[in-house]
Amino acid sequence: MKNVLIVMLGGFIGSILRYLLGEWMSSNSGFPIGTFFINLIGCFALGWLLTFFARKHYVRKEWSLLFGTGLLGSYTTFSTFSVETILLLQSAEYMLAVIYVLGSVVLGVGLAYFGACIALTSKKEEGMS
Amino acid sequence: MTIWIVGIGGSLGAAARYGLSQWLNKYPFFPLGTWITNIFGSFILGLCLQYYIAGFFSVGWWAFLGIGICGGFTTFSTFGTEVVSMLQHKKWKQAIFYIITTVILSLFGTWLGIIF
Repeated sequence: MKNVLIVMLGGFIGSILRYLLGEWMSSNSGFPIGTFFINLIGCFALGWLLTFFARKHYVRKEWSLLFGTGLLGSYTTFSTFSVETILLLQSAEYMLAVIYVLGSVVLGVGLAYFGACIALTSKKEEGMS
Repeated sequence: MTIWIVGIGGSLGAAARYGLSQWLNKYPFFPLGTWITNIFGSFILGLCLQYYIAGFFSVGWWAFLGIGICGGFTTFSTFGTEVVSMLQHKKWKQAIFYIITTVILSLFGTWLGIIF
């Protein structure tokens, strides 16, 4: 029960961050730039966080639930990504839809990996010093 | 005011996602919980959008159900890190299958929700 409440607190903060950032970055260009960057930043941050926590043995599970599952999980969104892609397809913006889907998936996975790499490198340096 | 409605919706969505993944993410290299969450959430958001556009929902309900619950329920970051984990373990086929089915079925779900 406690774990669910921690996830909910993270989800509360993450959703508000997504909403505010989305409002701030909304544009009339036709390309859903807000969700695009929100998801990419979130992938990088979660990639870093999970590896950083996994490397540190004394990190409590609660921190991972708060910042990972809760905050970054809710900050990023798949449903808005899907809806925006369908809306692009419906307005016959096929090229933008393909760029949006491929860009989000390839860069999202790439940045999650990059985040994990950074967390690994910083640990190595720490161990050497 | 809207940010609090979004936040409350997001916390409920996150709780549902956490519950589902606790229940279903137990197969090695296939995060069934996240998979179902993203596909089902995309369908529900399509449905919400249709009702919102048709005028059945006020802006407040859209903020609560759409931006809050559906947005917080589905996740892109967990999807990304799960793919990375598959790639790190050289589970190429699972990674490709996970990416393609999540994207195609989520888009199909949204489309279904919009025309439903």
